[in-house]
Formats: sequence, C-alpha cells, structure tokens
Amino acid sequence: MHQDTIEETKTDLLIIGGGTAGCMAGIFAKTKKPDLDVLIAEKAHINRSGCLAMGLNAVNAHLADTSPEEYVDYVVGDNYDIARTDLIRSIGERLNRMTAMIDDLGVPLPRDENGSYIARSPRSIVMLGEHIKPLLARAALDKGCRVVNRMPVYRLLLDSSGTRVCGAVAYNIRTGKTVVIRARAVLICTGGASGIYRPSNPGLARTKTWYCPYNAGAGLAMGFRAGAEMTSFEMRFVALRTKDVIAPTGTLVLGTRMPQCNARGEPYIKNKQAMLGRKLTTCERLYFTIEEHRKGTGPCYVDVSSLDAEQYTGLVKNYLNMAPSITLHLLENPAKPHTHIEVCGSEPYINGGHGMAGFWIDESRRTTLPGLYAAGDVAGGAPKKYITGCFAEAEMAVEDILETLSKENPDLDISPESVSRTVSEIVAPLNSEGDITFTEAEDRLQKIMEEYAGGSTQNYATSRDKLLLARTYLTDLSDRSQDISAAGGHELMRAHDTLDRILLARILVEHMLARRETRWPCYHTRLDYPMRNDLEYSVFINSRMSDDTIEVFKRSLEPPFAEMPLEAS
Amino acid sequence: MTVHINTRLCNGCGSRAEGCCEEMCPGDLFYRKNGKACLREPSDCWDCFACVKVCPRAALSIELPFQISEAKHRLAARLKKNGIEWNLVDRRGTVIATYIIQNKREAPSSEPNKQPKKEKQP
Repeated sequence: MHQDTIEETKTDLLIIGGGTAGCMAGIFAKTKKPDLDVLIAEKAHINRSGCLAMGLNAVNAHLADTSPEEYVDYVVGDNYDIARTDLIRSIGERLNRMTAMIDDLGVPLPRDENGSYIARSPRSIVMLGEHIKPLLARAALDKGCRVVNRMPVYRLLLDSSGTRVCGAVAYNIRTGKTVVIRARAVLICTGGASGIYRPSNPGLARTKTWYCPYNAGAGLAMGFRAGAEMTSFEMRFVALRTKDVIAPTGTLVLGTRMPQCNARGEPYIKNKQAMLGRKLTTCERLYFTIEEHRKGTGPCYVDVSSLDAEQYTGLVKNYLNMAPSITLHLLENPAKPHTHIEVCGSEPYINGGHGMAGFWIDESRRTTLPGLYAAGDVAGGAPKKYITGCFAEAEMAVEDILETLSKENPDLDISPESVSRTVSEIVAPLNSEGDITFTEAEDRLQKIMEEYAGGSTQNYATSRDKLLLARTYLTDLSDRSQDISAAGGHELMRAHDTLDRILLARILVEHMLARRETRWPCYHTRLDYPMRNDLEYSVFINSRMSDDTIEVFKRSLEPPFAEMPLEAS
Repeated sequence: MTVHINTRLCNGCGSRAEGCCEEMCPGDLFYRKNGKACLREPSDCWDCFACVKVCPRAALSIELPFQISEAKHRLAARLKKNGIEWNLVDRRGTVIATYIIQNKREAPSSEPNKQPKKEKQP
C-alpha cells in the first residue's frame, strides 16, 4: 500500500508547465513585479521540456512586411472563417515585440546586410534555435522564478465555495511526495495533447511523433474536470511531415523552395493553386497530398534533386537545429544524397498553437473558471500563434494576473476533505491492484481512435456511426482504466498521461459528433456530411463537464459569443 | 527511438545525485544500474537529443531503428562554447560528417564547453 507523504507549499502565481509559454510567463511576471513569488511546476526538466526540447529553426509568426490586421485576415481565412478574431488580433499586435525578446535571450537570429531578419516566408524568419529552451529556462531562473522539476501537476483545487481555482496538487517523481500547492493565481501552460491516435510508426519508432509525446494534455484534462469550458476539439491538427522520421516539411519547402511533387513528378500543389487561382490553405496542402494517394499518383515528395552540395549541407544544418534525427536519413549514403524526400500526414493532435483546440478564454487569457488562466498551446480559439504567439499570450495573462492580484486578495480556503479526496485520486494507480498497464490502455485508446474517429489510415475521415462506436468503446475503456496500476512515480505519471488522454479522446469524439459538416478537410472530415454548412455551423463547438457528463453546445462567432443548444441528433 | 549508450564511456556521472541524462530527459526515461545509465523504455524516446547533448562523457548517440534506416548510422553531439558540434558516425565507428552550428548570439568556438553549471535549486 502506498503511504501518502504530503508536502504543502504556497505561492502568488503557480505556473503549471515550464515550456514555451510557461517560462516566458515567469519571466514577464518577475520582470514586472520582482517581489511576486512565482512557482513553475515542471513535469520534466525545464531546460529541455515541451515542444522546444529539440530546438526550433524558424520564428513562424513574425510580421516583417505585414500588419496585425493582415495576420488576422490570413489566420481567419486559413481557418475557413471560424476563429477568435479578438484573440488573434491581440496576439498579432505583440508578435514582433516577442521576436525581439527571443533576440534578447541570446538566440541567434541571422540578419541580412540591411540588418533585417532573414525571411523564410511572409510571416516566418530564420532562427538558429538549437539552444532556445535552455536559454529561456536560464532567463526564468535568473529572474528569480522558483522551478521544481519532475513535479507534474494532476489536479486543480477549488476554494471551499467550489467556484475559484486556488491551487493544485502535484506529485514529485523524485521525492515521491504528493505536493499540495495553494496559489493566488494559476496559469496553465501545459500544451496540447499527443498520443491520442495511433502513431505513424510501430514498435521502437512509435514515439517518433510530430508533437511532443510527453505533452499528454494534462492541463486540458485537469481544467475540464474542474469545470472549465473547452473549444474546437473537433478541429484536430494534422501536420504534413517527412515520412518515417516525421521531420518538418516547412524546412524543405520554405527553406529550400523545392517543389512538392507526386509520384509522377507533377507539382500537384503548384498545379492546384494555379487551378484555383489562390494559395492553398494549410489543411488543403495535406488534403491534396492524400488525394494523390487516392488517385493512384502517390506517394508524394519534396523534390530536392536540384540542390547542390552546399545547399544540401544547408538543409542538413537547418534540420540539426530542430529535428536532428532526419539527418540520419538524409545522409544514409553521403556519396549519394536522397533526391526525393517522401511526405505524409502525421496522426491527429489536440493543439491550440497550430490548430485552435483548447481552453475557451477571454482576451486577458482568463478561462471560464475564476482564478485560472491559460496561455500557449493549451489555449484555444487562436490558431497559428506559434512560439511568439505563445509568448504574447503569456504576457497578456500575466498583465491581468498582476492587475487582479493588486486589487483582490483571494481567500485560499480549501476544505481538507477536498484536498484529501484529490490526493487519493492522484495516488490511486499506486494503490490499485488492477490488472492493466498504462501501455495496454494507451494501445486500446489509440486503436479505437484510429479506426473509428478518423486516424491517418482512414484518411482522417469518419462518420456518425463510427463515432458512436468510438463513444461506446471509450466509455468502456474509461471505466476499465480504473484498473491501471503503477509502481513508482514514473509509472504514475504515465498512468495519468493515459487517463488524461482517454478523457480528452471522449471530449474529442463528442465534438466531432456535434459538428455535422466538413469544413476543415482532414482536420475534421465527416463522410456523412461532406459539405461545409455555413447556415448551421458558422459557430464554435464548445464543451464542459456538467453532472459528470460531457455537455456540448454552440457559441456564436462574435462577442458576446452567445451560447446555443445543439440541434437534436 | 534508440539511444545508444556506450557503456565503456558512461560512468553514471559518478557521485552526482542524478545522471545528467536522467536529470534532463523530457520523458524521464533514464535510470542508473550498476553505475551506468540505462533506458527504461526505448520506444518511449522522442529522439530529442537532450540526453546526447548534456552527457559530459559523450557516451550517448542516437540511431534510427532498422525498420526506418538500414544504415545504422549514429548521430552524436557535443556542446561547445556558443555552438554545438554534430558528428555522424557509421556503424563501424568512422565519422562520416561533422557540423559545427552556432547556438548562441556570440560566434561559436571549437573549444569544449565548460562543465554545465549546477542547476539553481529552488
């Protein structure tokens, strides 16, 4: 039997997750108010955690020759007219200042002879970002943030009236202690969720995913459990990647300007754009790649045959800053470099940094739960925010937190029963004598989602009856998952990863059932409703926990985002 | 994916409370056994190279599983002052390519990096 050892701590601002947004939030908070106590609870080690662990070779939201208004138009257009204009505008206005902060961290941003950053596309600039995460972490520590590594947070705590978030409970993997944290404000920066669908490769390579595999969506799950509202889970994000090693295609297509071709050598993306007379949207680039397979002219490639030796080396170096293992593929035979790099779609993810799934927030990055804020990939409604957008959200959240704390002194009164109930929920897998492992449960989850909820082998498409089966199977799996047992802190973390992923999958399926149209090909394809339906679905699909069930409803696109019921199915 | 641990070079980071790889791995995949680093679950590895970069003895490298690449090359990395040196090594141990890339604003030098500073404890 696991013996609970409980440690208690208190802070002004608890930041859950020391990744992109979390580190920067700490830096902003301590810069603006040095005497504020800021605690960053980090699941891994802050130097190399989250999406930036490998590095990053471009700043993808920097507005060199465009205005914030044009950025808003681009993002909303790319998202087929559903996105939070207010949130995107607030990000757009801050983006370039955030690039300057990356510069200040000491991350090399190469400049041309005129002193301008080197553009990779209209909204993207080149960065030598191998070390961006250690530099970000160092800045947060230097500013005086308290950082506790290997301390994943699993549950939020509400005050005794049950309305305001005033803390959280974590489990320190290294000390084996459950940690109860009381906080005057809580900011969630835990990122999106991977591992919900079956990965591209089996066996030893199964964690070769696009999105950080250690982002299990803990923040989304703990927020939902506490009653926070979520938005747009059904707009899953699927990345177009190089096959097998799942490295970014942007580095190839934007970095080298090489054409994307089908198996016959036809530049299908360029041809499609010429035919339509416009640029393809992000999900269309994926959709038309899948279409080539369907027509029998797949697979598709980026044709790098015209790169000379120096350019090929440049490509290898760019990848070393962001996805090093692809170089093991590129240089398999250094005497005979690959001329064609095959591309494919990744498995789908829940993500608010590229897509727009996440917490429903207001312009100050407040969630629907008082005392709880969200920034970065965990926050919904504003796609294509990327790293600079995550920073901007962190700043906006911190500004509101500081203003609120200067006026209010929240009562951190939490009932002892609520604390002990939460602690026992967290350590339950350690005490369980159940007969299943987290790996078994995760495999089961991924099988259900892959086959019934539009995984990559289904060309990302699904329909009502399949989704209803997914709902049934997931409910069974959710009940059965009480039998996941864990020995020690590492397995406890993996058990919670799995339990969180199962909950998020259940929410996702409800969202996919609710949006009875096909608006974002591949991201959300309903074979039974193959057309876009502006009349009924120019709305957000949102959800929240209500009496232990997942309640799904619509919200209108413009403030005040009126709530509307779903039509009966 | 596949972290290759050279057990002749690895000393488990001696008396350090945690091995450097164990401390840094974002997946918490390392532990120590008989004074050497061990990988808990190779298939949980993301290939992020955090362990490779932080290893003070350059004992770690990454190779692609055979299902993806039959070459069995390995990629190793060492942090230098303001830069990082990457070495691609074939299966016989011959270095087939080396790249030095700047990773801080100041120009990189080929001098080896000082031992990483001890992490500030909260």
